Amino acid sequence: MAIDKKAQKEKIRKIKIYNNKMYKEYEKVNKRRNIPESEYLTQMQDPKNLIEFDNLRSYFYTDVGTVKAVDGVSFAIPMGKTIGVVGESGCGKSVTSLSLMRLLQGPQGQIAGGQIRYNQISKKRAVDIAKLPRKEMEKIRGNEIAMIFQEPMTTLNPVFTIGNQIDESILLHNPKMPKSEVRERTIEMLKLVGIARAEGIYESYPHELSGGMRQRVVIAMALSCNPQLIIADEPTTALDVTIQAQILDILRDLKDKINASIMLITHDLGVVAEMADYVVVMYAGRIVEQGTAKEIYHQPLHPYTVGLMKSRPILNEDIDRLYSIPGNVPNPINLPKSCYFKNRCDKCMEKCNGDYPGLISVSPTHKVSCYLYDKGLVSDKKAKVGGK
Amino acid sequence: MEDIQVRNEQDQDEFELSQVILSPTQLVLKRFFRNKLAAVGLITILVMIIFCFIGPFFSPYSEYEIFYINKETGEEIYMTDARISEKGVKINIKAPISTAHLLGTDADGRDVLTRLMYGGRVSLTVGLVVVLVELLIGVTLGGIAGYYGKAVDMIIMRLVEIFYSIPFIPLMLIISAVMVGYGISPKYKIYIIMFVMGVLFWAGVARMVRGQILSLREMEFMQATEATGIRTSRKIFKHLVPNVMPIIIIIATMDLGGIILMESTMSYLGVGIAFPYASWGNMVTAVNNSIILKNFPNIWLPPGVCILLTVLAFNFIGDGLRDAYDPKMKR
Amino acid sequence: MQKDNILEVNNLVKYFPIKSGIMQRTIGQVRAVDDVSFEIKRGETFGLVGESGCGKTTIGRTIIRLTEPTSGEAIVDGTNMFKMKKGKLRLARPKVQMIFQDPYSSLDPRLPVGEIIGEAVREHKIVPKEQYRDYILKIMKDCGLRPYYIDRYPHEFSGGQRQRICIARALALNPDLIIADEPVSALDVSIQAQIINLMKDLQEKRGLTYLFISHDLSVVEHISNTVGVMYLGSLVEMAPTKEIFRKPMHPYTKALLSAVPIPNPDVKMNRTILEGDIPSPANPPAGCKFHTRCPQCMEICKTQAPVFKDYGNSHKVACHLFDQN
Repeated sequence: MAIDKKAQKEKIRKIKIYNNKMYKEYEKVNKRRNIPESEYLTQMQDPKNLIEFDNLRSYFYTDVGTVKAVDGVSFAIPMGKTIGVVGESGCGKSVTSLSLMRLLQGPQGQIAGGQIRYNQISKKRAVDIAKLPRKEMEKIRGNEIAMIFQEPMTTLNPVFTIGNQIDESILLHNPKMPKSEVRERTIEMLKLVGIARAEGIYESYPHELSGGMRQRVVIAMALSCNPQLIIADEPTTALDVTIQAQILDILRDLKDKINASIMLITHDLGVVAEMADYVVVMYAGRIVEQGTAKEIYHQPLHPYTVGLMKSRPILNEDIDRLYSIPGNVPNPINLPKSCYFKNRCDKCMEKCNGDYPGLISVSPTHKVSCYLYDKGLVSDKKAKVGGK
Repeated sequence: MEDIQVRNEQDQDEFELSQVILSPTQLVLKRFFRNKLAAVGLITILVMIIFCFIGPFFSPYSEYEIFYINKETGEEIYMTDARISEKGVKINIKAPISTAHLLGTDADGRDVLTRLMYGGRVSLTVGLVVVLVELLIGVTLGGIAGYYGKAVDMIIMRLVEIFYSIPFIPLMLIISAVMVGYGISPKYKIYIIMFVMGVLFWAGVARMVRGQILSLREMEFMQATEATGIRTSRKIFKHLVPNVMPIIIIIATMDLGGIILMESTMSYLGVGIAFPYASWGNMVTAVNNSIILKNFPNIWLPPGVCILLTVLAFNFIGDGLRDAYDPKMKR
Repeated sequence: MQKDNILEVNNLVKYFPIKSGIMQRTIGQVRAVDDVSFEIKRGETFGLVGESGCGKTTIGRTIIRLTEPTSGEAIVDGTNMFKMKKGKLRLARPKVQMIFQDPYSSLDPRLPVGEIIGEAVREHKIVPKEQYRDYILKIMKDCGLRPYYIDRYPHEFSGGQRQRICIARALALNPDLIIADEPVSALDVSIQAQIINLMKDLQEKRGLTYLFISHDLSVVEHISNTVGVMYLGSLVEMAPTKEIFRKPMHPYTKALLSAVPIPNPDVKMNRTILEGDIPSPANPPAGCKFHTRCPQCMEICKTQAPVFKDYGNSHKVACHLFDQN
């Protein structure tokens, strides 16, 4: 026991030293001024994509070890499409979006590697957000990429009127706009999100509104700057079903009205099915499966996706017993080299003890990270696992 | 299917049984000692306690002993010595630092170091007793107000507000004047001061405890004790008290520093601990004399430093405890 | 009271006074629960659904008397809970137990798991002293908890395991009725399934009766035998699960059902989206409470409150639409 304790102390000390070293390195990189353009300019792989995550890795250097919250995530958000990121708490879906906004809490949270390519149409160039200088990022954040959070009250300032706050965000990005025009635009935005008494709401304070109304205001605020991308992080989780339906309706409606992409982060498979064109399923910081919504829903391949789908009861469908994935999400520190889902998987094979499986394409859009679909096996296994 | 379940469970067992489990108290202690400032604070307080309560046994002098000196021979003469009536013998005031008097003597010819120890005894005891009195009243009344609510709460909270609005220093001045008027001996004066301070300071404690209990009462685990039909006494002593304890301990340590400071202020103003008893506060009073202030820092600096160190240490401990109990409150 | 009913709630009313000013004068009332009646048969599950603020949680808390009712009665196994004196009530507590929503605040952080589960067992002398430890271990095993958890403290457990501990605590008292107030809504999807399965297994094994309160319609459909839909403090529809989900009658139930997102991208549902927000229960609309948002509102709805009536197949609805025929 005594030796154990000593080893533990030694380990903690090492972690501390390592963390401090890392903090300093990141600090050095972040503090630099006059970064040459060449460093962050890049080329999109496909010019039709708005965002391309390429092997993104976001780590948290904590006192107990390095948490690889996002570890090698690659997917693209095409222009004008909605992409749903699904997973349970702690799977890294929110960290992915925070990395995209460059809002990770420093010094612990850092983008450790990979690229986030952003097709900056306004300047006719592509940039790597992971390397973008702070000044440039501030111009993009809230302006070209807007975010909607789960709890609208945290986004709205309780001491200012709704109108005041939306006006401000419009003014921030269009400083030369005359006052009357700003007000007009604010009211237009409020009407866009289905608020009938826009003039009345303009004068109200956040606490006077219901949860659903507040979320609409937040959406209006996000829209006010004509963003290219809207990140919606669990936008309806805090709301009632009927209100959730209203908000989803608005979001879907907006998708057609404005030419923006939506990155929808949620744990609710139903919401994703309603909204998304493409779906990314994450587990313990990695993508386990991605594809179009239809592919994922009709032919889920990864045992985790299958389990997730089966563990939700569906309305008007008789099942005697819900399927449940046994066990818990693994500890994010010191994850094994092999597949993270191995211990909970009912299709685990000998092969699974090997390295983490790479992404295997089963169709041009559908990719899965599982040995079950490793070459040769694909054709005969697909039929058995997919479908209900 | 069965197979993975079993394997999964085995893995989990193996992992979990290898974990070192800590009770909440152990966890708090671990977090507390990881905080360096708090640990330094704790050591400082321990050193102070040893210095004040055990130190005097090693001092050759007593608290009120006045030293005389034969100006001609330079020989020091004790108070009890018959030679003090000899010619040329004077009180050895403001003696410089020497091996006999490590911190010299004060304006009345008493050993500063010895008085520093006795003064610390008084200051620390006053702090401790006042905190105990205020906790006794505050926790009881705050607990009753929080637990029973309604009219009882109303009355107690109004009482708290009244106590909050009593101006402390003017009241102490009056009490002191009355005590002088009635000729109460300095020894009893200490007790009265401690009692009065305790009675005046309970209001803050009561308010904190009440707030804590109100928020605990709404917690679902307290609702669960109600729903499972646990006896009221058990509910209070097994669930409420242990969960209020952290805040009580934190208040107590923070207040200890505050009260020592308050006692010093009062002694400095001359309404606190009075001659012949020493306290850090009334030792600092020496700075009133500009000559002492300028030329004899050995008389007033040590008690000042002691006050500073003790109050700082108590605050560090309080901060450390708070962070240890509730890591989320940090910063 | 019918023989096989374990719980009968009759005309339950709970108003919360709104107080204001220094003198704490009552200036109004929040009608949290307004004349609700239902019953649960032994061994069955009654699902209570509704949106936030509809009073479903208040019903649960009132039955177990964590909040005192304004009027009405709740008869558990032949005894009226509302008529009991405090002392007697405490001894009768084990009969009805509750599982809370938030597994993080429902366990005392300063007690080990064994004590959390066993405290009330000792209090009510459920088992003789020498069998106590075995009894606790057995309950823990039934709830899927490892035996060595008994000396561990809540802070070491995840949400799902904590919820298992809560279930074990309720189960240890051998209750007739368990009120589960949103027991899975704070958990992850895969953990939700584990907890729901556990609850179902325990029901089968021990013949438990649940009052399952939730806003999640698909979970309620899965676990309940009978479902009651609440709106602004009143039941608007109540029927056996299949009946209510296949043939919803009340416009609110229909809207609620159509609002649930279906995890199938091909099904683009014809959605009835309700306009506006839920009115304040402090000032409910006159007539039918739902008329302000109802897509099929008629003149009579604005003035006259509909009666909660049985329309066959024990399908009860409170709506004027069905009165005409």
